[in-house]
Amino acid sequence: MKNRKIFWFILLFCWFGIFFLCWKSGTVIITWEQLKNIIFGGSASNQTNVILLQVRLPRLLLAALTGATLSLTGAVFQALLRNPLADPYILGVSGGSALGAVIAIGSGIHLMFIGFQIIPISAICGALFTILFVYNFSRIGNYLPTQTMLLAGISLQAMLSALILFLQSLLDPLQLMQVFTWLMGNIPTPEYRNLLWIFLYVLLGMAVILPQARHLNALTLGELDAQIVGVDVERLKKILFFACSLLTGSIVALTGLIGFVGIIIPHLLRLLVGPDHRCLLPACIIVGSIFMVVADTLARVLLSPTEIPVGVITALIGGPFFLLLLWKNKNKGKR
Amino acid sequence: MNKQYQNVAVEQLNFSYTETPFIEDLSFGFKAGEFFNVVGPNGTGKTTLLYLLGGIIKPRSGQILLDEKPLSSFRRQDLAKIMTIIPAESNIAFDFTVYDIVAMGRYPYHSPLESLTKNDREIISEVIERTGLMKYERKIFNRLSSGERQRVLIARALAQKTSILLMDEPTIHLDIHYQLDIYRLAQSLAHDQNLSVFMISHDLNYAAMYSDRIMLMHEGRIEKIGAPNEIFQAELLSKIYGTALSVYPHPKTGQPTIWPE
Repeated sequence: MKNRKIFWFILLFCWFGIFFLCWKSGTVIITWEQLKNIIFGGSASNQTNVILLQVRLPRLLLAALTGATLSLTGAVFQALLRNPLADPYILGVSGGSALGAVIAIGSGIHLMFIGFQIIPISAICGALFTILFVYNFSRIGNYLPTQTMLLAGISLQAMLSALILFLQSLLDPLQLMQVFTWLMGNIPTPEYRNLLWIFLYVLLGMAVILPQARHLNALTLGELDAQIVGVDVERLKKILFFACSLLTGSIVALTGLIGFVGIIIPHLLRLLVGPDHRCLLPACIIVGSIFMVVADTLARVLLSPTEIPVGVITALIGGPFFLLLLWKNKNKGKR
Repeated sequence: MNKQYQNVAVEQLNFSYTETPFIEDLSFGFKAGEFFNVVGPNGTGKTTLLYLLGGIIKPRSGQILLDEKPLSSFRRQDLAKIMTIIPAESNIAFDFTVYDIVAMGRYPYHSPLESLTKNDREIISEVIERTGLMKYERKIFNRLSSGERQRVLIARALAQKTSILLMDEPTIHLDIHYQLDIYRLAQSLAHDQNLSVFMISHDLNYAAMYSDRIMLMHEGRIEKIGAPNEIFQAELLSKIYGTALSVYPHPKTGQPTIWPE
């Protein structure tokens, strides 16, 4: 119990330490002195003010939200489908939201009418349709064969990518550029207004998911076992599908497709804090967010002033890491 | 323990997975203090019946009453305090310990954000001891043998402190020692603690030795319900199972035992 508290304390401490370090790093060199002045309202030049508060901070915050969301939904999908390989990317949910977003971007009329918010909503709907399709397509009565589900997700993801490519050929060059950079998986510098909207969506999704942690524990033994200990499984699944679509959709609308975070962070944390979702889910939020902040900062500074898409960084860190995990498990004779 | 809702009555129950009926016109009941066994050939609908009784699947027609109250009117969480199922087997995707899984038996008694109370911990320790799992408490469920896992599932069910217990072939992975333990445990839960125990049994001899009443099922229907010596008649069993069987009295207790011819 005491160790637990120390663990959370260290985790939060690291979070803030890394966050400030990443805030400071970038093409333009900022000193700790300048950062301190900005935070505590001291004097700072106009230029540093703009760089730190208008350019870097909103982007860092969006990166943190993205990482938290992707790892949280990854962990939830893994419990929901009883498969450690599930994540929104593999199941086609990210692809669904991407298609939704591309449709919204393509039909520029809406964009001018209602402003930015139509894109996340369209992406959320795309995510929801995909997850419902994959789920209902794969299930046989009360039984959910994970293999069918993963294969259905992968083929759906391929079809969705094809549809997105098709739509791209219909777009004019300006929209095409917009869609293209976005699809690679990028953390943009959002306006604070948009960031606030996304934050509200994410907060709502998390507020729905976190109290279900104990039910998720029961669900990892299967739907029958969860029902035996009193979980209303159908209701739980509906709630979680909706919440995960809300989270994935709203994030994908801004950042495009960023893979692997949803698999590696929950995996890593299961090794550290164990499988109990009451610890696992909050840990996913904290570690996922800081992982993404670091990945995005690397994307900014590695080839500075050129930027690498952050999806490239996460895949380059995530891919080998995942293979290493599989290798270790294989040698342990587990799974 | 829940003193209400102990007696189960089934009225004209029908169920089907496809167009052809799978469970047809079942009416029977079992009550508190009774160890009730169901036997019958494979694919006869025994497990389906158990899922219907547990409210996991919904009947096409007919109803199930718990002390006159329809099963369908219970909320899932409330039902988990009244009846529990011991499934034939369970797999888990992640590394939960035996203790974690037994502790899940206390879930129905709390809202999602509450943690285990002192009372819960006492109950968990008690059932872990009763099922002989003390050595395994901190072990990972996934790495246990199937027999050990089965005992964990039994412990979880006992931790729920229900008045009705539904068991789906609980002895299937166990060696003879634990098979006997399970039948004795089930019998004592019924006789000494006044639970209603419903068990699907594949071992006819154990069913004859320990149960109070037996229901013989065949092709989704009830063939016969009665005391063991009424059910265990060579001619009837040979016909139902489609193979020649003989019945002899147990040399010591005189209860019927079944032998291949």
